[in-house]
Amino acid sequence: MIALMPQLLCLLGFVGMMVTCCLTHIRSYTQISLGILSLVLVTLWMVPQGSFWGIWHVDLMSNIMQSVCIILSMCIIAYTAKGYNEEKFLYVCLLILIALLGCFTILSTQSMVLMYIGLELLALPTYALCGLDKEKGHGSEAALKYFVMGAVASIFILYGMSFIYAATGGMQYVDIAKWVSSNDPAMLFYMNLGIVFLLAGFCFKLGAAPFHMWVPDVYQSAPLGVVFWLSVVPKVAIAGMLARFIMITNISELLVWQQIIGFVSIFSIVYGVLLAMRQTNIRRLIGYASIVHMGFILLPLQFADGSGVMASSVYVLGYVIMTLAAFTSVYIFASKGRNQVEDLEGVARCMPITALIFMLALAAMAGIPPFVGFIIKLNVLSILIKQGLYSLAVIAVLAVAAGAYYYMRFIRMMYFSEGKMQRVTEHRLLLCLPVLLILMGVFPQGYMVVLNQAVEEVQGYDKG
Amino acid sequence: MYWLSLLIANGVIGALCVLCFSRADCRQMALINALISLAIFYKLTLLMNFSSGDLQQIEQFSWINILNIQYFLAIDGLSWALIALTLVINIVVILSSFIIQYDRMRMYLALFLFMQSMVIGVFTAFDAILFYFFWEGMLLPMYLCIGIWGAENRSFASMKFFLYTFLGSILMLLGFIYLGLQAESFSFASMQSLQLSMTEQLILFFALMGAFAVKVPMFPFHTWLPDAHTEAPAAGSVVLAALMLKVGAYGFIRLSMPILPDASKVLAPMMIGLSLISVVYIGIIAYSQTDIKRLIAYSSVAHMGFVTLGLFLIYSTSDAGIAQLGYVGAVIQMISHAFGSGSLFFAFGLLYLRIHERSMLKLQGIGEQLPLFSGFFMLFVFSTIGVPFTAGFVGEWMVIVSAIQNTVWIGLLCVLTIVLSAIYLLSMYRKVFFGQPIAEVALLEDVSWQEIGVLGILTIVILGIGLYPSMLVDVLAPPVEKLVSASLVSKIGIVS
Repeated sequence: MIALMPQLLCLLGFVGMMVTCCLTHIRSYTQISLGILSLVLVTLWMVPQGSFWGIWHVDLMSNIMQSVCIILSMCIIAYTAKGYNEEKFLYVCLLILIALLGCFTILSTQSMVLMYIGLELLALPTYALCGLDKEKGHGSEAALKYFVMGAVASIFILYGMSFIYAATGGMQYVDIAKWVSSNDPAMLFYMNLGIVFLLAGFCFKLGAAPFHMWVPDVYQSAPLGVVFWLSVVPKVAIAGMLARFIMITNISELLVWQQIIGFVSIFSIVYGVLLAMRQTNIRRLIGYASIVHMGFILLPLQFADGSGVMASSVYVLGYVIMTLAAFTSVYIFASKGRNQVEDLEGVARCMPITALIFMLALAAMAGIPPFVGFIIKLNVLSILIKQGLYSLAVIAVLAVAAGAYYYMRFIRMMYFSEGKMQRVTEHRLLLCLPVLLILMGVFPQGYMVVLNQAVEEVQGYDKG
Repeated sequence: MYWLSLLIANGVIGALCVLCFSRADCRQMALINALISLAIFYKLTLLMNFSSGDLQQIEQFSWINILNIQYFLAIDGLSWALIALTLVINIVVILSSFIIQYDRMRMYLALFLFMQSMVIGVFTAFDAILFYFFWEGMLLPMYLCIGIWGAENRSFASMKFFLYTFLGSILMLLGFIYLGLQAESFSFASMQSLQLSMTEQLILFFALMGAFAVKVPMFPFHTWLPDAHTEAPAAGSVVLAALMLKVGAYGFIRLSMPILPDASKVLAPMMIGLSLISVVYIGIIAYSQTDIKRLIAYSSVAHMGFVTLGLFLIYSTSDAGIAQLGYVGAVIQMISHAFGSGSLFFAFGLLYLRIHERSMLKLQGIGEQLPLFSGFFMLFVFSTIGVPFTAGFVGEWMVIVSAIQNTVWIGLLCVLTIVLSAIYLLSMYRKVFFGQPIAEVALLEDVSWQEIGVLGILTIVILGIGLYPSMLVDVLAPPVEKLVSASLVSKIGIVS
């Protein structure tokens, strides 16, 4: 039971917060939720590491990913608190707590049943969060779209799991590993079918093309604080889950897995870049840019060895920091009523610090050194070249170069024209974000070694 | 002491200080920073041994172990000369900020200080990924520089510049990754000792050429340059012409030729052909320009053709002495072109400051009104053409001698360019500076003492290289000897 301490604490915190805040007139939601989350964070690292009941693992990998999820949620709750009215903010805190429980589950579990439950636990609060602004124009449309398609994706995952169960006869990751090592040709068809459905569902949850339809709409219409959260936390959780799934099941040795992941990732990169070029809404554009990043996260997952998973996890970390920096400034722009690319005209004059942060975040996303975006892309590309997939590397690189166009378009708007706005006061503290972008880009050795160690630990598990 | 790191760090720290701490005195602060850089460089010069072509002042540390990336800085005579060029040009740029006023001065100076560091980094980095860090580090500041302080069409020009260079350099990155994985280290030395098949070499050559040919720029990839130069502010044009283009040629010298010698040898006729097209065809295009800045930009492309020509001529001669002569000539041409074109752009910037007109059809009689300025401009034009006793003559002469020894008609085409550049530059000079002053020109004032000071620095350098080139040749000869022999050793045949 001790292994589940952080999760139970999260659940207890959720119930306690719901009860106390609904019954009494306590209004300090930010402090309460931050308190609960920091408590969870501390217990996370105090729980002994190891395997429990064969389906639950507490190890470096899960702890890192869960901590990232918690810290991001804390930052976003604290940062966006003023953007909601009181009632909605309570919902946001509660729903994020529940969704985090789902993240914890999928990051630690080794069984497909728990994986499915965790995914649903993550998805259901997310649907509700997206519909929070239901009275505004497209708010309910995006939420409904997301919900209907998300439900279908969940069914796909479940359907795929049932085929895999038919092939392997078990619901645990190790059962798949056993099947992969025995490679029974009679059941290959069911296995392939299962993988197709499973991956379709996963790619939907990640928001990778061609399962990306919800991404631009949700990014545009959901409350900005929610989009902020949605663009980082669930992606970390699902990418972490995929990493564990691949390392324990060795499923990426199967040809169909490699082909689907290869296709989806390259398609996401190219399609995301092409569509992003024509967007005029900042949030939609960042949505398409996130599709491109998902492509880069999936790209190295087609390889069976640990280096691919390591590259993917490193990319997730970098992506999170870049998105954090970008959304921080988008949030400030939006609070001043600037939602279109054209609205950014001349903001370098009236909001120099915000514009600087946004510029550096975009440069990082475009993959320009010395920012973190470069080193993580270098990592992915070097794995592609090591594996001999030169054509994929060339396509990815050309897409990156084309993608620089729309990132530079923002910079052009912000810096190259004169705005006639009043100077706005800004927080200088936010400048730590670009510093983080540069530090992570120039000194990646530290976190790369830690992640490498985490990956090797998971890879070394006994696979029955 | 880590003088090279200090030299690079000084510019970056200076940029941050100018950006964060200065208010009204940002120009003094930038100037002091540039002078500190110069002092560090002086110390470095004292420690150098110029008679040896080996790498000196090596600073080698492991940096990102997981990817085999090192922090590896070093210097040799070639890098030394190019760093000296960078520092002088940067001082000119900072001094010119006292003359030409801009909006957002702090950011402007910070960007130039930062670019100085990045360029020095490129010239001293001996690890491919570190090289790439510095190489791309120049990109965003230059993009901002053209975009913020440029002329009317700046937005388009800066975007074109960015996309061209970014696409080129990212292909180079793929080449680096491949080489780095093969050699299990990204240092230039280990890449150089790598055995590569012909096919690999050819593909890699084109990947690296993507970056270098765009920067130089060579003939089919040059179209970003006239736009960028025309729209950029005066100091931006100076840095573009004097430093950014040199970085491309430096890439050919340090990377393409020693690491991929066989591909370079096979493709040398193509490179020589493209260089000759640059030299002749771009020269003809330059003659048809009416915009003075565009004309100088095209003449820049034409003269950079000499550099690539001199470099790749080494493959068509068997005589090592001749090969080296052309090679040294190419490097000297890099430096003299930096000062020739750079000072033309700077001088034109001073003129533009007074009259805000770029078309040579609307200007006349400046010589009568601004005699001193016209004198300086004349000298810069002569240096660009390659008149004896100016810097431009030395490099061009060496390349032409080497070319004639190789193949007579290549040499003749080269000589033709000197005639061509005399035609377009002198006819521009005649239209703009001679004749009766028109009404607008009659109101202008001649150069001030400050301006004479900056123009004087450039004049001294140009005449110095022109009158006493042997010092530069002595510095360059030992590293060039090593590079030429490395570029001529075949990598095929010896199967590892």
